[in-house]
Amino acid sequence: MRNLLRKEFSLVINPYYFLFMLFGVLLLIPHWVFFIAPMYLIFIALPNIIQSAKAQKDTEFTMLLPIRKSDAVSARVLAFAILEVAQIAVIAVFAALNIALYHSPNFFIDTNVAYIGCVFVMYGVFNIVFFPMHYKTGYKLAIPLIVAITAIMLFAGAIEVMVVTVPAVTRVLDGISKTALVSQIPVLLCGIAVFALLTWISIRISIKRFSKVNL
Amino acid sequence: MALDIVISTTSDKPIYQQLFDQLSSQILLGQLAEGDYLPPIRTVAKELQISVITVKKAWEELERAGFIHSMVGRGCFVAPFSHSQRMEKRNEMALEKLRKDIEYYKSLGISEQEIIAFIRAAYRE
Amino acid sequence: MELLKIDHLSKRYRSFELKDVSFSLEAGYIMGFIGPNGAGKTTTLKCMLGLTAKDGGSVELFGTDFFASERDAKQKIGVSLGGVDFYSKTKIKTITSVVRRFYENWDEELYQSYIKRFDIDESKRPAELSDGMRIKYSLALSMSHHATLLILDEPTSGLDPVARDDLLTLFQELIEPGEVSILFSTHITSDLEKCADFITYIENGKIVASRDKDGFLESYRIVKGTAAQLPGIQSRLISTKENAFGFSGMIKTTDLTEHDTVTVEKPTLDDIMIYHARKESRHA
Repeated sequence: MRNLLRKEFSLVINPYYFLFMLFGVLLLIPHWVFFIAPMYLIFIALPNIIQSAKAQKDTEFTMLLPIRKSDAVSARVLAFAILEVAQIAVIAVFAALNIALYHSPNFFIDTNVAYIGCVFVMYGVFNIVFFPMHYKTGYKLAIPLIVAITAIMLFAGAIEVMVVTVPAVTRVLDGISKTALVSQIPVLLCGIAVFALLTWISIRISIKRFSKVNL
Repeated sequence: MALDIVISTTSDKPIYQQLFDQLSSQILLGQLAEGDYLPPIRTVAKELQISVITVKKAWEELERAGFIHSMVGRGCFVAPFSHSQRMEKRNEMALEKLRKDIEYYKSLGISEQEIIAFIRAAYRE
Repeated sequence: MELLKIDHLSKRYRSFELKDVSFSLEAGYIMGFIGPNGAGKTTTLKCMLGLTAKDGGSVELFGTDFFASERDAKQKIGVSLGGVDFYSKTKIKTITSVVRRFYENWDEELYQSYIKRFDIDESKRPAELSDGMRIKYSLALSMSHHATLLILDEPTSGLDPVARDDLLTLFQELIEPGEVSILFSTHITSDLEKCADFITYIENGKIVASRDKDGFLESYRIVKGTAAQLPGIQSRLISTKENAFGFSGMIKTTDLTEHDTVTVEKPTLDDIMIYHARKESRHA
């Protein structure tokens, strides 16, 4: 798997996609819908990576290497999960900067610890929707992407709306005070767990579907 | 040991037959001495750019005809022949060829006398 | 020992079917895999490598099921399916450095010897190479980890006669020690007439014959004769070509009798393919 991941990052995923993560700088906007920032990875990097893999006949190449057909799927999803985690790390830095700079609460969710947890869940939702649909054929991109983006938009929209309108949710997720951490750290941990679980399930389903694909 | 093999891919004669003929005549003429080892089958195939199976078949025919012996793990070597055995073998092969030719002449309605005359004339050419 | 044993491999597509494909290959030989375009050569190779999901049958490599030990099995085979048309914008050096890590038995010295032999410039990208060069690079990649079985799809097409001859020489060098086997598909049959030990002939998704090349060639004859001779033999011919002055056709050697007065010739692999193809179109 290490070799396959190395292959993903040296042949498929262009290093400049890491530069795209600097979209995290958007978190320095004083007041905003901050869930949009982590979506750029999905709007720009993911479709490009999948497209270029297709153009480079990556799957055909990979399948001839001494690996199982399933390994090719796991490696691709894991590589993308690594990008997601890296993006979250970048965002976390800017999130902390935002709080340090402005000290003022946002109308929507703040760039706090709970927000980071929610981004994890959002990426998890993307993974579970996109990859199993994509690996039904191994090459279809547009429809899985549209469906998965819709799913994460609904998720992010729901969180934002609830943060504003449902007091209980506001209490748990919003706020930048130290005391808010008591409820927000568990949200972050749960978010990480949900992300890992959804990604794992996504890999299992994708592998199963891809095993029936004729290359 | 000098082993000469020249293969023609356009000849009507199958390649294994060409191998057989060339090796057997070299053995009969004493160019290949008793006990000489033949090169490994796979090397012959590679050198001549022909199939391993073809060489194998030629070697098998040579062994069946008593020209060579094979030893497991050591390859094939030229069978021991006394001078008289060699002559006998030579005559046997020549006769066999002659019989086939005579068969053909007969089919053309050529008499024994005529055949002998032809052979004399052709031999002097 | 049998390196490769394919048993009743089958695959159904909407318009094409691979039916009960079976053949095997021992260690130390070259097998040519031939058949007309669309006969199922590439499909067979893809099915046996698991690129395409098979519907039935089994593939044994070195005596064990290929799919049960896919990773180990793939360590011991070298595959080249046409030229390298992947990562066209990446330097060859980079591609190799990625591939190399996957193989336990990667032999850098051997790889470099192929790079030199094939005259490949490692600083180039596949997009900058000619078709022939791409095939050579693909072969270099697939032959540098001491594979015991090479599976090559059309390795000689796109190569000039000199390069093809060099490649065939290389193949024979590889099998000389008797451990490595090569299975290669091609429609340039003259390559096989030189060096193949076995021929597997596929047509319309079915294996017509899989046997030693000499025996395969011996099992058919081309017959030629006058129009008047045709009726006496036509029912036994696999297919016939008629012309203004007579006919030619292919017959199984065993179907030929002493009483036939027609001209009899030995076929080439091309002849066998051509006359078989004519039979197909006649029935169509």
